[in-house]
Amino acid sequence: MHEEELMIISAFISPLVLSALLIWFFISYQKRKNEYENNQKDAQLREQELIIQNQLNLENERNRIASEMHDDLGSGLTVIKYLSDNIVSKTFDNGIKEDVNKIATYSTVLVKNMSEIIWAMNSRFDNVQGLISYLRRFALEFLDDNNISNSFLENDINYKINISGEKRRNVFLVVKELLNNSVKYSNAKEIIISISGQSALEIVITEKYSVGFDPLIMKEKGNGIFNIEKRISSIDGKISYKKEDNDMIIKIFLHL
Amino acid sequence: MNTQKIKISIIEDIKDVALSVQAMINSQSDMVCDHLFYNAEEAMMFIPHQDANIVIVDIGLPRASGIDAITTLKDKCPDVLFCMFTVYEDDEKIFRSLQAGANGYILKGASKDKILTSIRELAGGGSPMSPTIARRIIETFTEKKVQPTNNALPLTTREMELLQLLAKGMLYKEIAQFLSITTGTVKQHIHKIYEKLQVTNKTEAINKLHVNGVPY
Repeated sequence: MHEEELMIISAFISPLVLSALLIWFFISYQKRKNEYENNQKDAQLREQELIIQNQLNLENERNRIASEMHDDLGSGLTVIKYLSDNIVSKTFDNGIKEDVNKIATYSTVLVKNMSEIIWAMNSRFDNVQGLISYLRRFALEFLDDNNISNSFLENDINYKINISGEKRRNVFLVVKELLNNSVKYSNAKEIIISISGQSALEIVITEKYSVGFDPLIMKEKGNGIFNIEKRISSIDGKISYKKEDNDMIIKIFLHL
Repeated sequence: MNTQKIKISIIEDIKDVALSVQAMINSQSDMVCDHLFYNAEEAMMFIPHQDANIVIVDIGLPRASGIDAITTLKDKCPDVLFCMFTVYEDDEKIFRSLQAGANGYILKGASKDKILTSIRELAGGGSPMSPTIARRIIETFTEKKVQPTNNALPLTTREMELLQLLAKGMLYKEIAQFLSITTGTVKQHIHKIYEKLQVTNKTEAINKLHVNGVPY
């Protein structure tokens, strides 16, 4: 009887103990799993924080370099321009005038180039809007100064998409070189620049009534086409040239 | 003819630059520059007692900056136009100068003709503005819209429209065509926007004092 009772009790208890053990194992396993997952998440967060911090440091460094270039080099170059102008106004020697005028021109060009680098380094302009407004202003002023009719069209663009400084600078320098070539060689009556695209940008430069050019021949002549293609491939873009009736059409395609 | 000459003073620490600009101005029949200052401190002391119409101010000066000079001088000489003299156009410092009371800016690297035209434009009520600066002004005014102040958004719809076009990089002539107005009117609008940029700051400062219970 006593043994029977014991057996019954143990028959009841052992499953209970067993299940209690199972539950305990399960709970502690879950606990450890959660701890592990939390640790993983913490590590991920720390890593992300580190990345963000690194990006911030990089951005601060970029801005610091930009501001130092801005203050010291920029004003120094301007002084060269004014000193050169002084010499030009004092001398009657045309040879000296010509040479010194070149110094003034070079220093002004350097200030402009530096201002482009500073624009590229400034993270405030790291979006499509920053790129397009800079391109627009440059293109219109440049073509106006060279007495070529122009228009700049924008269609269906997502202005808020981020675009790195390096990419912006490359696109800008490509467009600048292309327009430089247009002004120098195309004889175009009008130049139309149109930009469109949401997830990728398409920049089309149309030279109206252009004499046109063969990119392969131009490449051999070293008219900057080689540099343009190098820049375009460095930002994973594409460029194509096409002569249509009287117009030369240059298309740049760029993933965002 | 002589009595109508634009009277200009220059604050510029680099003597050669200051003298060049002075010579450039004095070679013209419609403007004259008699006073040069090589630092902000002297300028702040003497300009209120002189009769300049326009003061050309370099931003980076040895001790007090050009912005400090404008902040002090704008209150003492409300009728004088202050014009920043700067190397680059897309400059945070230009924006801060405009907030401090500057009426426009001239680029140091610009050609002689462009510098002289800018001075005449400024005297005639116009001012240049770059897309970056236009965008900063839009941001400044839109931020203010969020906070309820006594003043409603101080920019008119037309002024805001014009700023948005400028921020897109459009040139004055394009904006004039787009809005069917003259480029002269575009310039006048910009001049007013600059003025309002300073006005809002003062209003904000006064409002802040009021909120903190300081009598004014």
